[in-house]
Amino acid sequence: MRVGVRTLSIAALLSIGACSEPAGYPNKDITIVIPFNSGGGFDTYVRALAPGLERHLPNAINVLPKNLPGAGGRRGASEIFRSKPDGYTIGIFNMPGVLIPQLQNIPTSYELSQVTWLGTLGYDPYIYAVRGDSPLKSIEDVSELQRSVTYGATGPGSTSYVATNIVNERLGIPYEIITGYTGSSGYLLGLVRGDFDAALLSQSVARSYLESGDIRALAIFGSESSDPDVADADDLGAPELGQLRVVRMMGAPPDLPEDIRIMLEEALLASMQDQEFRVWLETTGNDVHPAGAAETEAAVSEMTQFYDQFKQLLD
Amino acid sequence: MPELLLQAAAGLLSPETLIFLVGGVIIGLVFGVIPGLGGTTALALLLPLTFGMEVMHAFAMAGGIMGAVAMGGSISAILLNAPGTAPSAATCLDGHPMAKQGHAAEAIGAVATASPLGGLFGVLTLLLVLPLARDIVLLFGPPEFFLVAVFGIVTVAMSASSNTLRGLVAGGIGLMLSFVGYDTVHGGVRYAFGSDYLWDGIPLIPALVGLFGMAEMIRLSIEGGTVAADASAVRLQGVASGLRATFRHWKVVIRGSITGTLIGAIPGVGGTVATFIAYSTTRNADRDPDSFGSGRIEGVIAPESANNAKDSGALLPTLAFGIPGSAEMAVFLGILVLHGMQPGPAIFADHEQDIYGLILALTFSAILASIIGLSFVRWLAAITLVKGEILAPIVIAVSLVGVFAMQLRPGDIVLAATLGVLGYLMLRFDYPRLPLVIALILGETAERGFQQSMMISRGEWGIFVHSPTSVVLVVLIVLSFGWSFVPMLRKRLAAGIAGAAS
Amino acid sequence: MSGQANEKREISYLPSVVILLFIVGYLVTGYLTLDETTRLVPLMAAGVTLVLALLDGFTTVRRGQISDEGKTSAVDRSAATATRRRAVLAVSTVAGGVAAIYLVGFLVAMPLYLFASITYLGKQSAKLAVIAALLTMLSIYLVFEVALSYKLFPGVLFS
Repeated sequence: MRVGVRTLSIAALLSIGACSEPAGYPNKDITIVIPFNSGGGFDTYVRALAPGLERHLPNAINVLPKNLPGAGGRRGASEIFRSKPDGYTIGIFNMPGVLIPQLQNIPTSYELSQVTWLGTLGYDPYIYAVRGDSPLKSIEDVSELQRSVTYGATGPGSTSYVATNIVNERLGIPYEIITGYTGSSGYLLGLVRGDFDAALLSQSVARSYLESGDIRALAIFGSESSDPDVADADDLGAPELGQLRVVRMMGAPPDLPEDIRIMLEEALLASMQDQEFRVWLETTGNDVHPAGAAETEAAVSEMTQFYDQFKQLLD
Repeated sequence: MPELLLQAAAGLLSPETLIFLVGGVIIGLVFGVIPGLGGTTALALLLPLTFGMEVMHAFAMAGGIMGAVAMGGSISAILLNAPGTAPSAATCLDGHPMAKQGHAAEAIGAVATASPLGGLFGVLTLLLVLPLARDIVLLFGPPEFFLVAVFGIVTVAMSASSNTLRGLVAGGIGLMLSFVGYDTVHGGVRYAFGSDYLWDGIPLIPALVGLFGMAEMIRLSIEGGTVAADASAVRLQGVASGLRATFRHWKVVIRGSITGTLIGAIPGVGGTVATFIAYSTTRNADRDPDSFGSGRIEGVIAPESANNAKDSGALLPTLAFGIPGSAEMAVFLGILVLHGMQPGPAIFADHEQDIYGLILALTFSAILASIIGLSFVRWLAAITLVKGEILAPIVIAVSLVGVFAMQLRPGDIVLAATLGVLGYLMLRFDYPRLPLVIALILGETAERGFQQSMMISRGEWGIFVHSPTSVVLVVLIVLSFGWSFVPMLRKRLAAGIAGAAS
Repeated sequence: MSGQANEKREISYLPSVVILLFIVGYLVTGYLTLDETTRLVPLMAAGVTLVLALLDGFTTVRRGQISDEGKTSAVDRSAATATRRRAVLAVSTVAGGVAAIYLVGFLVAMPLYLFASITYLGKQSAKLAVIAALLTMLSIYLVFEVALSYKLFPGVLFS
């Protein structure tokens, strides 16, 4: 047993020490800042992607995820923004999570319009869900209710809270939000338990509960519907609600040199095509919608405009 | 189910898997011993490594860590009064006085049996209720969370040993501190003074490291001397009597294990509360509660049996809903997802064998940790003979490094040191720290549970007695109030009669 | 004589005074800076604590008066003063150490803190202090930077 442990620790030491000094970018390890705790959705996504990124970048360097949780993702975003633009610190952005505080005029030490965008990994559409045994069968049923509909969400200013506000205001449904749930799995549990009527859940969280019949989808925002029973933004006559989704974007500090940006963008797009990563996405029900830097930049400004018109609903 | 369980056992007992299990146990012990580090940090560091491993290997290692940190954490709690991990803080209360009286070996012996026994109890319970996991998790909604939090605060505040009034003051201050940061119900930011650090509230682990470990080290560096009164005190005899004591107090073990499993299963309440409640209920149920805190072995056995049982409980919401029952479980959740397992309704059906493997790893690791821990304890106990003048600054330095390693926030260092000074002052001026800690952990849960219940019921107070679970909780709260008032009243009455007679 | 008695009394009342000031500060800040909905529960908790703390302060004063009647010996008093001085010293050493770590990071500040604490506060020989400081730093460095590839905090000035 003792021998086994020793081999293990030697192996661990070797894996860290093995790196030479090649010329040109990248010649040292790259850090990916994750603004959430280890174990969360953004964290596992980046960690599953990192090995591919190492393969698709020249030179034998490591891509090291670094968790900087805190202040609802703002701490991580600030850290990326303030780093040296040398391509050795990049990070993942939770959109619109870090955009909303900026529109609320909360002092932030980052400015999303100046970030050097590298690409988009994927997005999570919002599912309008009710309990499996709910009498509500469609959004029309919901709007015909003679009372205000109750929803669950995390705190005011969070993406789920803002999305719930926007959907109901736009569709003219009277509503109340029960706030304070911890995370999307928190109010998912509340929905299954029957604390409230409905909730806007991200698809990756909702998927296995939709399959088990614990909850039922009435509508989907941020993606087209493939199910005739589930309405999408277009069906509801509110196509702009297609903007409602959580997007995982990769970015680097402002003024990143163009050649490094291109190198990172290409490695990112290539690693998202890797078989291994695809299999992981498939088994965990995670999404991938690769997009390049230009598309990502356009999406950021479109998203900013969209949320800006609902400014009064943000908090 | 039995054949899958056997298959899982066979998988776990293969030589390769055993290496990972033992590796996990050793990492767990080391991370457990160092204040500030703990299971969460160990798992977070392990997380990237597990990506390339086989599922069973990753689970063996994670299980090894989770089963072993408790033992490590309690060793430093007993020897130094500086809990290595948050849930071991309760073990300080009677474990350290035992060490001062030269009974460190006995206390550690009790840990070595109580903690795997608790673990075993938790695992058996988990195996029994696994098919019901979903329903159990659904029993707890906002009103129940509120009541559990109140129960925790009441139980612990009422058992503050020397001075109930000061216990309540400390609890009140803990509550006030727990409201710092973002208000998830109303959206305001309270008492953060514009700082992003305080936006997240006062973090538990740095706070505990400060209030217990650093406070004790500041005291030691002021008073000088060694932890144990003299060299003869650490002659390690009595391990066996400690081992036996656990079996003699089997009722305490069972109460502690039940408390651990139950409280562990409630997300957001977690392990530290479980061990504190196990300690407090054992103290309150004892015929001589005032003797607790001066080295009663039951005061070690109770929190220790809860300390390992809680992991099994915490697995329930983690697996069934992807809601981590504790901070460690949050990281473990990531290991699950990295291996392609999505927690949720289907996980028990899809990955039954892997889950059995994990459960078995948890059990074996607790036993292994005890054996390894006991064989090293002789050397570790020598720490209590090091001069405080040297030991204290070193422990302070190492805990500060550990605290920073958690989340890489410089603010954590400052917070731990500030609360270290506060903890020392509380020690010196005789204000109990326990109620402060419990209120700090549970204050926000209580407030949120209350506000959400009121929103759900639209202001109807009936919601707090609406479900059988909440009725049980209300009864428990009333009982734990009564339990501490009855002896007090009886004493008053007796004194009154005596006064009248004289 | 009366001066010393006063000083003794000050010490035992000090915690109550600090607690009361803290609670009042909390109440005032909360009232001035927070919305009505979000301040409700914290201010309620603070209010109840204020009452409890006042009761506690009152009991302390009474106990203080009782113990003042029995005269404490001069030896006791000078011992108390010595402990108090050491306490102030110990707390400021920790504070200084943490401030240094915050500014210049673990690798620079930690050995200095250990050395200062062991020699100045602990009154041990400089040789012992150097050995302890270097050994501790070496093991921390090996465990964190080398084995775990965890970057020790470099301090706000160097990060």
